[in-house]
Amino acid sequence: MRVLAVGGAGKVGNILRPALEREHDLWTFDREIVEGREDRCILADVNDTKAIDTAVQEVDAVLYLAMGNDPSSGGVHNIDAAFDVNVKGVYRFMHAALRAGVRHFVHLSSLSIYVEPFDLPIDESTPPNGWSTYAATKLLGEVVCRAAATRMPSATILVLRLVKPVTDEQLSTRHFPVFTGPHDLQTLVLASLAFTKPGVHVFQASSSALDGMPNTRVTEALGWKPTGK
Amino acid sequence: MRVLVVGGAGNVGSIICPALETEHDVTVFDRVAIPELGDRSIVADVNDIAAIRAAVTGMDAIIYMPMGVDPNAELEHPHFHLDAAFDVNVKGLYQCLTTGLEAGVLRYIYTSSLSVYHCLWKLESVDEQTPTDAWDTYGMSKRLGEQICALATMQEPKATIIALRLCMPIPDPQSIYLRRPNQLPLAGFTLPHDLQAIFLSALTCPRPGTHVVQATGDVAGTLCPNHLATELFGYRPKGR
Repeated sequence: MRVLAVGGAGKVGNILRPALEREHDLWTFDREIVEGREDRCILADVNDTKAIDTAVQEVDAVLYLAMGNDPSSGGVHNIDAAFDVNVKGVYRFMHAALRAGVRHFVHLSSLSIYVEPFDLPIDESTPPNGWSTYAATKLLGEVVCRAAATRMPSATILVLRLVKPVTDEQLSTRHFPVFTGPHDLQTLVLASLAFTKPGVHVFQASSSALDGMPNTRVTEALGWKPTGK
Repeated sequence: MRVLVVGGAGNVGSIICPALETEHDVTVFDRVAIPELGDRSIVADVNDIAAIRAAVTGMDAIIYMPMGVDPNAELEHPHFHLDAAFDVNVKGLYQCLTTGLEAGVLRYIYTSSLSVYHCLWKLESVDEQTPTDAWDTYGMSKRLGEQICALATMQEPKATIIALRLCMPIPDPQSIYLRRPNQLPLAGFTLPHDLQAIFLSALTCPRPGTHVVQATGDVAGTLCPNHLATELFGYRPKGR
């Protein structure tokens, strides 16, 4: 499949790239270039409507990884970046992609939609209660995904609520009570791209496999189970 | 009450502010000045967070009603006011609620719209239970605004937040034919007296929490009835 990874030059994109390139024709849409992959990079901002319209042509699936993390101005808590990327950008991409005939979306959301420290148990039916800029904008991104599914019932839209994606290096140097490991993230996204049931599907997923944060639903639907790596 | 009307110099604001002023101490926050109000007219953008923070301080209630339409937009473009709609109806609302709650303001009215429905005129009737399905820029941004109101209640359960779904507020019955020359008027279009009554009565809602309420000029209650608005704050349309 031709997969367009939006924000694919960032941390999560770097974790996913080897696995995605093995199985798919991977294109990256990002403000940053991926070194050595220049011919598969579209250098643009998620609020550049014209660039988006061009980028979504002939694409089989859109993978939305951008998270509005601007380290120079408050990281994920920069209000303008958070709304531009996590809400407006999602809507722009969904809108353009649906019009271009794309019917498969994998949207990376976050368990940050819940107030931390987490009040466990949490599963997909627990009402989100986060109010930070990042929490609120990630939840609004999910609302856009649900609206897109209502608009286009034949589309398959997966919303993955992850918790702290980490690299191999991070995993080998310290202990994380809750996390999503790089190998597990790769298998999760590959399984999501192979899933074809129409509608919107919201799954929480973590490698830590806490009793209070179960992977039950994602395991049932995708057959995905964490390995802890 | 001391009431801050954000976006109060616009079409809806100019209809309701005179009525609000008979009962409340009104301050208007808008990009456009209202000279008669003197220093109670604050000229600033909704995304100017310092200006919003200063304006909400000391208020008893905030009415949020900017439209999020860009007057300089290129109308031929399909997303001609996407930035304005999202920046105002989503981000601006979030910042207004965040700063308002920090300042201890516990009463809000968010001006939503029956544009949260994709094709209102194709529906036989709607009420608050009808699932929203708009996907256009304006309707989507209004849906997201309602979601922000729901989240704000989780943050501050003591706050009373009314998301008012208005239906075609117009200054006089004739103007509807100008806007929709080939169609019959929607049953729910809302004339000035009713519009004023909606906002005045919504400010009195005694029940904390976020309430999504449609409030229209539909006297007969055929398309968009006012049952919940009547129950929550006693609003009944008069059709004028």
